[in-house]
Amino acid sequence: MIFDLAVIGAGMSGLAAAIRGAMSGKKVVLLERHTRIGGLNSYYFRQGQTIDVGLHALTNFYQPRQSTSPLFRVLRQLRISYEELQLLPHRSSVVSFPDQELVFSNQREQLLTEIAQKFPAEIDNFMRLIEWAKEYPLSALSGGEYKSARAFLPSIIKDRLLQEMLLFPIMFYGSSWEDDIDLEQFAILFKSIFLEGLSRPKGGVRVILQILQQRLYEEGCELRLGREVVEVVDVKDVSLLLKVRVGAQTEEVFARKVISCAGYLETDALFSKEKVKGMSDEVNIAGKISFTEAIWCCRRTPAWQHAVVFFSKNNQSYYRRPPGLIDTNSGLICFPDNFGEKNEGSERTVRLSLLANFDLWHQLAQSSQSSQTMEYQEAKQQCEAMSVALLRDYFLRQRLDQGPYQGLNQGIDSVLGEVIFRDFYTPWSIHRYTGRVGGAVYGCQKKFRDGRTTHPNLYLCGTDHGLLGVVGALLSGITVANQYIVAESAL
Amino acid sequence: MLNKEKVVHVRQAIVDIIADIAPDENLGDIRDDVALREQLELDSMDFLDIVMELRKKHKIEVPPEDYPRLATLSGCVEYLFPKFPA
Repeated sequence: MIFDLAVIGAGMSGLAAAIRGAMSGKKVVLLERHTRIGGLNSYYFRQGQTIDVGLHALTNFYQPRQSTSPLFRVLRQLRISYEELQLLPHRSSVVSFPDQELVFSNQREQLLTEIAQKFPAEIDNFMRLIEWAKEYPLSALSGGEYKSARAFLPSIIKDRLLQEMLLFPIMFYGSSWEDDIDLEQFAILFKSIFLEGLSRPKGGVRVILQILQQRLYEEGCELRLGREVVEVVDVKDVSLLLKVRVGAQTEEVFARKVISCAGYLETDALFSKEKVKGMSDEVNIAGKISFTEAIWCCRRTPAWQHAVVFFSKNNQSYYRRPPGLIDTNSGLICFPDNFGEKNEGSERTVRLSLLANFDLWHQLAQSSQSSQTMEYQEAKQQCEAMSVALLRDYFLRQRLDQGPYQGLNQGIDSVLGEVIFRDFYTPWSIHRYTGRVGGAVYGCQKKFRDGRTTHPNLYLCGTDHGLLGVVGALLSGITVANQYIVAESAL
Repeated sequence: MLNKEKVVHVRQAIVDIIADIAPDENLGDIRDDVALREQLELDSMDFLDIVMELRKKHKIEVPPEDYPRLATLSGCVEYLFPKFPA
């Protein structure tokens, strides 16, 4: 039997592509190497608690019947009802730099008031930036060229600190380039984060995954879990043969078309003989951005209002592969319980992400394995302890003698003093779980914006298609499937 | 089926498809001669779904060059009328 479409990887974009393909009446198989779907955005159970991996927040929040958000388009295309997601908007989040803080929520006026108070000379420019972002022509599937947001931004925003404070969270939420982001991505994420806003499904990422899995079954897509595609072979341009590892066995799957969400380099590596594109001239496109993430599950949630904190210890932002194991200059703190009304969340977790150096973690893991030492484990413990210190530091730097932060320094100590369990991910863990070269969560530095490869029947979706975040990934899978599977199915 | 009945039938088939694709839209007071995009929040991806559902539910193929003919409800009826079984 030959499938019309095989999708490699049940990440968010692969799931969306498979659903759309099946909706159009195609015979679709979705192959996932793990026994659970989700890829970079998944979850696990520990001590009766569900812990999310990947997703901090969904961008592109909208109220029912507001229909300009890409999330609205995504839900409609996948025929998922808005109510099912039970989205909880963040109460507020903050970009925190030494000389200034910008608090924002899904009420745009809050950010405008902040800018007007803290950067009064820039408020008109900021309004211009909003108009610019709204009107930015999006080139998904047309293959636009990379442009530097950092080089562009001064043409609208004059204040250097404000430039940094706007670039920083947007880079952290989706740039595969160091210290910069593609201008189109900047426009998309600026709208997604600041104009539409952040939210989180009540119940976390597994709610989204359960709904997507349900939709797969409803549309008759075959989901094969525990199947790792290890090789792709071209069969005379008619179809592609996927060699699939199932435990110790090998399966063969034939498909007329293949969409891969495994990443460009990762997909390319599956072609053992003919390369999809010449690899030799593209060795330097591997993404350098990876993170560690510490997760602490506590007995209670700290008394703290923000959902996400983007903090930088310098007024000049830092976003690159650090020289050491981790970078302690900046990071991202997430309190999943601070979405929705007070006390609505019950995760009682605190998460902290830091930029990290894949190569160093990789070396440690390798040498620990070969010499049977604990270096890698020790490094994890040290970096987790540094993460705790950074978190405490951040709270201590707040003006705790007044306002909503009052008493918080004690709060965070007592909360972290009662940790039920802790976890720590490294770029090496990310690589091992997702197969991403260099543990690069935002993919490689080159994007393939039309989703095409040099193989006529193989397409890319997901991070290397150039759409980021959970909403971007879903939109990516939908767009690539629409263009190459749904629209062509009449032919 | 009389021609008049068939027109009503074809129109209802299209409205049913739009209702499936866009369950949150109010289709009660839709105007036949005004572009669907001006009355409803439909974009090109949604029009692709109309074509997809026509194929699935009614075995009717709409080639891409004919998509503009689906712009209004009356345009849809006029274009699809001969394609629906009598």
